[in-house]
Parts: sequence; C-alpha cells; structure tokens
Amino acid sequence: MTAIVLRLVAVASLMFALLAAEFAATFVFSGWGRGGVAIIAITMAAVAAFGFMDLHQEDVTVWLFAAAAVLWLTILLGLGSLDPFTRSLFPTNSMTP
Amino acid sequence: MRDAAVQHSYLDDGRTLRSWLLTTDHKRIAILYIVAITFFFFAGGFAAFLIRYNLISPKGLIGSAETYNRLFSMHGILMVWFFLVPAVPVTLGNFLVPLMLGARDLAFPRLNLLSWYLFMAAGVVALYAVVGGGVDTGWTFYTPLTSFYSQGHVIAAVVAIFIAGFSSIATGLNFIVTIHKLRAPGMTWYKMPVFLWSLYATSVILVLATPVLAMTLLLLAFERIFGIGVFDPAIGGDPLLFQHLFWFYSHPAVYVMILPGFGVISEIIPAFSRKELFGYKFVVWASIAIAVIGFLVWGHHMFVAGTSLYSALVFSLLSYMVAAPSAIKVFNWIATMHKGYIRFDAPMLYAIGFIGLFTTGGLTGLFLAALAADVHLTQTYFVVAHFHYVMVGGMVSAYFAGLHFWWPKMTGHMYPEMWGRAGAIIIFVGFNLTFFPQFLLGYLGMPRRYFAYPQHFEALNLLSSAGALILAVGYILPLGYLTWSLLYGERASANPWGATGLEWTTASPPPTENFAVTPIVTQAPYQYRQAEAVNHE
Amino acid sequence: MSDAAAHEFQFASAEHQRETAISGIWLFLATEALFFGPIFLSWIFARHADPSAFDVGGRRTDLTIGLANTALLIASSFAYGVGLALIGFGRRRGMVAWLAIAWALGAAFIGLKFGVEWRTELSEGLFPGAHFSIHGPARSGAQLFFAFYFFATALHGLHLLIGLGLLAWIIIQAERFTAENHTPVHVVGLYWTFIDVIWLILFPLIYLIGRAS
Ligand code: HEM
Ligand SMILES: [Cu+2]
Repeated sequence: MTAIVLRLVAVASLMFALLAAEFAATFVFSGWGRGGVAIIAITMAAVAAFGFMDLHQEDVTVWLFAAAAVLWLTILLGLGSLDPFTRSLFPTNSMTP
Repeated sequence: MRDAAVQHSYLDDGRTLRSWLLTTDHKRIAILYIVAITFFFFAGGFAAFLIRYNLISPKGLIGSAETYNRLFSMHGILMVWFFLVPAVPVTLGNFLVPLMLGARDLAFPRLNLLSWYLFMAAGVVALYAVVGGGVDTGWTFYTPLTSFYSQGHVIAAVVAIFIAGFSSIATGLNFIVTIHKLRAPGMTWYKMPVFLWSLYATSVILVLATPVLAMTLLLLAFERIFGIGVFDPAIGGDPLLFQHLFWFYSHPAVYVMILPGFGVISEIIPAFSRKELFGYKFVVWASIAIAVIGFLVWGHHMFVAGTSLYSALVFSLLSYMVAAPSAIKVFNWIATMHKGYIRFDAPMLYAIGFIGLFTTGGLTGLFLAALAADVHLTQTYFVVAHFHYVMVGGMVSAYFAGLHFWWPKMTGHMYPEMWGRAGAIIIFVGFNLTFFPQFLLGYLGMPRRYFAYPQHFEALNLLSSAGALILAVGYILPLGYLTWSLLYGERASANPWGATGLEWTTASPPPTENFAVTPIVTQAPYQYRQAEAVNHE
Repeated sequence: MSDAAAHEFQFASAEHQRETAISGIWLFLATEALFFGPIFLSWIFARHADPSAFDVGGRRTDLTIGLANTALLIASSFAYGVGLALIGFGRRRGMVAWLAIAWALGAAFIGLKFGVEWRTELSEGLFPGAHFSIHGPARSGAQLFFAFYFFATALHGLHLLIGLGLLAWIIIQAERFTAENHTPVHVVGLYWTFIDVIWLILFPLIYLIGRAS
C-alpha cells in the first residue's frame, strides 16, 4: 500500500517537475525553444501512461493497442504535414484581409 | 446454463419482438443487421437506378441538375456508410466470429447490441436528411462547398455519418478484443480461418481510421454552423486539410469495403475446390499488410487538388506498394483452384466472379495511382468504373457469396440452388454491361457527376443503363428466393458443403450457446482431403 | 454480482473477464487518441500557414488559468491512482474519499476553463468571426488560432464532463467493489487519466508554443 502511494507521489512530483521544465523551455532557456517544449510534453504523456495508467503491468495485447495508437498518430501527423511543409505557395492579389 | 441436454436453436430462443430487440446474442444481432442493411442496399440502389435512368439521354431525363446532384450524393452516402462499410462485418462477421473462434459470444455482447442501435439511429437521421431534400455535396463533403455554399441538409447527413462511425468503432473494437481474448483452447493465431484474419485487419482500420473521420466531420459542422473554421481559406485555413483528413479515413475505408470480401472468398474457394488454401501465411499477412499500408496512400485522391509535388510523388509510389498484397491474394486463390475438384455451386460462382471483377478494379487502380495518367483520368467515369469494379463487383459479390455459403448455417434452410446460380450469372453479366462501358467513357473524357453529357457518349451510356436494369433483376432475385427458402427451403444439415471450420461442427441453426462443449482445436484450417479429389478424377 | 467468482458466460473465469475489459478500454483509448488526431493536425496546418500571426492569438490566452488547470488535472490523476490502490486493499471508504477529491479537482478544471477563461475570452471578442477583436495584419492567423482553441477545448471539456459522470457513477456504486472485484474502477481510471494525457498535449499547443522563441 504505502509502496504504491509513494510511487504515485514520485510520479506526480516528476510530472510537476516536467511542467516546470516546460515553462523553463518557454521563458528562460530560449535555446530549448519550441522543440524542447514538444519533447517535454510528449515525455509527460509517456510518464502519465506508465506512471498513472500502469501500462508496464499490462499484457502484450495492451501494449500492442497503445503502440498502434502512437504509430497511427505518427502516420496521420507525419504524412499529413508532408504536404503543407513542401508546398510552394504563389501569392495572389486577392489575399487582402 | 451449461446443460447440454437443452439445446435450443438461437432462432427458437424467444419469439417475441422484444426478445429480438433486446437480444445480446451475436447471431440474432447479425440477423437484425441483415434486415437493416438490406433496406439500405435497396434504398441506395433505387437512387442508382434513377441516376442511370437520367443518363439514358444526353440532356438528362430528370431535368434538374440539382436533383441529380442530390441523387448521386444520397446514393454514395447510403451505399458507403450504410451498406458497404458495415455489410460483411456486422452480418456474417457478427454471426461467425464467435462460431469460428469456438467462443460463446463476442467479448462485449451489450456493446454489440448498442452498435446496432447506433446504426439504426444513424440510419434514421440519414433518412431524415434524404427526405428533407438531401445534400448536393457528393459522398466526399469537400469544403468550402460543404461548409459555406451547399444548400442541403449537410448537418443532418454529417451527424448520421458521425453516429454510424461510432457503430463501426464499436464493432471493430469488439472483434479485435474477441479475437485476442476469446479463442478456444488450441486455436492459435495460425489456426484461425482467413476470414477471421481479414476481419481483424478490417477492424484495425475501423478502429483507427473512423475516429479521424468523426472528428473531421465535427470540424466541418463547426465551420458550417459558425461560418468560420480551420478549413476556411479566408482566414488562412486550408481546404486541403479537409481532404487530407477525409482521405486518411476514406482510403483505408475502401479496404474496409474489400478486406472482409477477401476473407469470404478465402473460405469459399478451398471449400469448393476441396483443397487446402494455397499459401495460408501469405494470405494472412497480406491482409495485415493491406491494413497498414492502406494508411499510407491517401494522397492519391488529391493529385490534382494542389498538394505539393513532392508529397504527390511519395503518395504515388506508396500506392503501388498497396497493390502487391492484393495481387498475392489473387494468385493464392487461383493456385488453390489449380487441380482442385471444383464444384460450381452459387457461392463458388460468385467467388469466381469476384476474382475477375476485383482484379479488373485493382489493376485500373494502378492506372489511377500513376501520377501522369491520373491527371487525365481523374474526375472521369474511369474512376467511377474503377471503384465500382472493386466495391460492387468485388465486395457486393463477396457479400452475396458469403450469404449463400452460410445461409444454411444461419437459417437452417438451403436456398434453391438453380436460382442461386442463375442469380450469380445474371449479376456478373449485368455488372459488366453496366460498368465496363464506363471505363471507355472515362477514357474518352466523360466527366463524373454531371447530369448531362455530349451527344457522342450516348451509345455507351445507353449500354450502361441497360446493364443496370439486368443488374437490378440480379439483385432482386435473391431477395425473393432467399426469403422463400426461409419458409419452404430444404432443411440444412450441420455441414451441407462438407466444409472445414468450427462453425460447421455445430447444429444448423446453432444453439444459443453455440457449442454444447467448448471445442478444442487441434487441426490447421482447410484440411480438405486431397484423396477426395483423386477419387473423382 | 457481488460474488467474486461471477463472470459472464463467454468468459472462462472472472480473471479472464477482467483482462478482457482492460484490453477493451485500452483499445478504446487508442481510438480516442486518433479521434484527437485531426485537432493536432489542424494545429500544424493552421500554425504553418502564418506562424507569427497564429502566435499572436496564442499569446492572448490566459497562462495562469492554463497552468492552474494543468496542475489540477495532474493532481486529479494522482488522487484517482490513490483511490484505485486503496480499493485494491479492500479499503472502500478510503477509495470513495480519494475519488471524490479527484472528482472535485476535475470539476474545478471545468469551472475555471468554461466559467472563467471562456467567459472572459468571449466577452473580449476573441471568438472568431465578424466581431473578432484582434485587428491588423495578424487578424486572420489569430482567428485561426481561436477557431482551433475553442474547438479543441470544447471537445476536451466534453470528455472531461463524461469523465465526471463516470466518476460519479463509480462513487455511487462504491458498495459493489471489493479488493478482488473492482474492474470498473480500474477502467474508469484509465479513461480519467487519458483525458489528462490529452490535456498535457493541448496545453503547450495552446499556451506555450506561441510564447516560446
Ligand atoms: C489495388 C489497389 C488500389 C489502388 C492503387 C487504387 C487507386 C485509386 C486511385 C489513385 C484513385 C483516385 C482516382 C482519382 O480520383 O483520380 C482511386 C479512387 C477510388 N478507389 Fe481505388 N485503388 C485501389 C483499390 C481500391 C479498392 C479495393 C477500393 C474499394 C473497395 C477502391 C475504391 C475507390 C474509390 C471509392 C475511389 C473514388 C473515390 C472518389 O473520388 O469518390 N479502390 N483509387
Ligand atoms: Cu484510395
């Protein structure tokens, strides 16, 4: 019992630390910038999945489902942004607000 | 509960309407679904009939472009979301997944019933949209037409599809979890019939693609209601984002509309060739490969939409990859038939028709996936013919094949064989007559989605409309004789085809609990004895 | 129902049923993740169209409330975890207390988000459309930001509301659960934390990226 609660306390503290790091990346260490924020956010999601949702205790089936979600999101966001990031836009004079 | 002596057929287990509407028995839910999708099939078919009627004359017989637009939109929406996507999974799949696994039911029977109610609710909203005047956007709902200019019941149509989507997700989720968790003792992954593998692959798509469509439709509804949104080019939004999201769902969804068909055919070909399925593992992994690679090719629907050339190239190349697993399957079916002792019963006739039509449809897909050819062929009848070959020639044939094959199991009655064969042949002939001319029309440059056309396309259009009439006869025929067989059909034995698979080891129709004793699986699937063929040579 | 060995007829054992339910909810969460996919992709598209104008919108959000809400959700997931651990040891009263805390933290999020934050933003004319109050060259991009913002937070809020309903249902039914038999508590907990995970991604997209350099 206490072991579990202590572990949860540790996870929550880690989350708050990461939240602080996110702020640091945004406002203090401008070198980290947006990339840093993104990496920390993904880390926080992973910490929640393992720390709060106990992903590591589940069987292969569950792992498979979780991995599928990550992989398919990557496909959607990756192949999806391929187009706008490689598109050449030709300015038109109708683009006034 | 486990009393083997009391063995009710699932059909006798309660005869009231209530016992059907509140059932959680997967077999009864399958029957509920058959009734529902049959209705939508004929509703969508009626719209198709009017479309072909209109196109008999170059000036259009309906007389209104607006009405014509609403007809083809209604046809597409009903056929895609209310027939093709659910067709095989919710009927044959619902019925057979537990039976083939040796399980008593799906993992979540109440969720299964809920999915039927969601489907019906969606159907009611869709019919409301149709009766209220319909939509003129096509089944693809492209923005900004849909968000700002279209006059129809866009919101109702979108809500209908949104709800139907959750019905799909529920079914897919149920199948995946059931296949993972409810296999009978000894039923290892490689002992599963290919039909289950196909449904597994289908479910992967349903579960991972449908949510994307659902959210996309919400974004669309938001934009239509508030007159502003992320697809709105006036504030720097991107209408192509809608198309990306739509096709992220809809290309994989076209595989939802064919993979279950592959599964059905993979059961029927060995059964009627009395041979083991050739290259089982290849067929199995081809299904999974299709489910995954199918997610990487959606951009081929947007080649001329203004996406970047670089991404168009990537999507064109990836599209070629997705054809390989489908080709593998075709080769495996043919190799299975090779030197088999082939019986030409109705299911087999449909299956053979399927192979020919699907191959034609798949190969023309490759024409379209070629960037340069597509610039010429896109938005023409060539595309219409392509996808009807795969969806109607392929999937609808497969659905009929499966329906005939498992009809004795589901109802306990045989259908009249001669009528069955006649139906299969009429459908094959009618289908080709309807859609082959459309390849030519498209090649000659007739654009899709117009209610009138230049004079010189008249002959081919007439041919196509005549074919549609034959096709209609072919589809109405089974409605008649299958219904007839429910009352007068010969009683079916447990295994009328001498087929392998756990579903044939239990009674026809099966008892509510499926199996008196949970079966223990020791054999690989499709162990049709070669000896049988030798005897007949 | 309260019989620890009870299970539905399609399962071999109660443990089999539990395992199946847990994998079912995980697969459901996978679909939920994809459900939010288009929101993330719209953010990418929208910001890419004109990053600096989009960020002008981002900087108009209320960072203090955003931060407070993030902390609330993390704390709430923590509280739920403690409640779940307690019922694992059969301590039902303790579970109810911690789940009530989790519920209250979630409700506080809703209150801050929609009662305070949205209210202010709506009154400041930040809802995109003809009356949008940001003018000048960044007007379009900022509208795009707020179209994303209102849509994404509404959807997330809706999930949280459903979560509050489920949590309340667990608390009301608390009598049913024992150390051996509390699958619903586990299942709802997974959903509850998942809503938190979605927020952990939305939070930087809304509040931080626009302010970073
Ligand atoms: C063998 C692999 C396949 C390839 C490479 C392929 C390729 C394509 C391409 C490139 C297009 C876009 C044509 C255009 O709009 O210019 C297309 C359209 C279409 N395909 Fe396929 N296809 C394949 C299989 C299938 C299958 C199996 C189905 C359905 C069961 C299908 C259904 C459709 C539909 C419905 C459309 C038209 C969508 C619309 O614009 O309304 N395809 N296909
Ligand atoms: Cu496609």
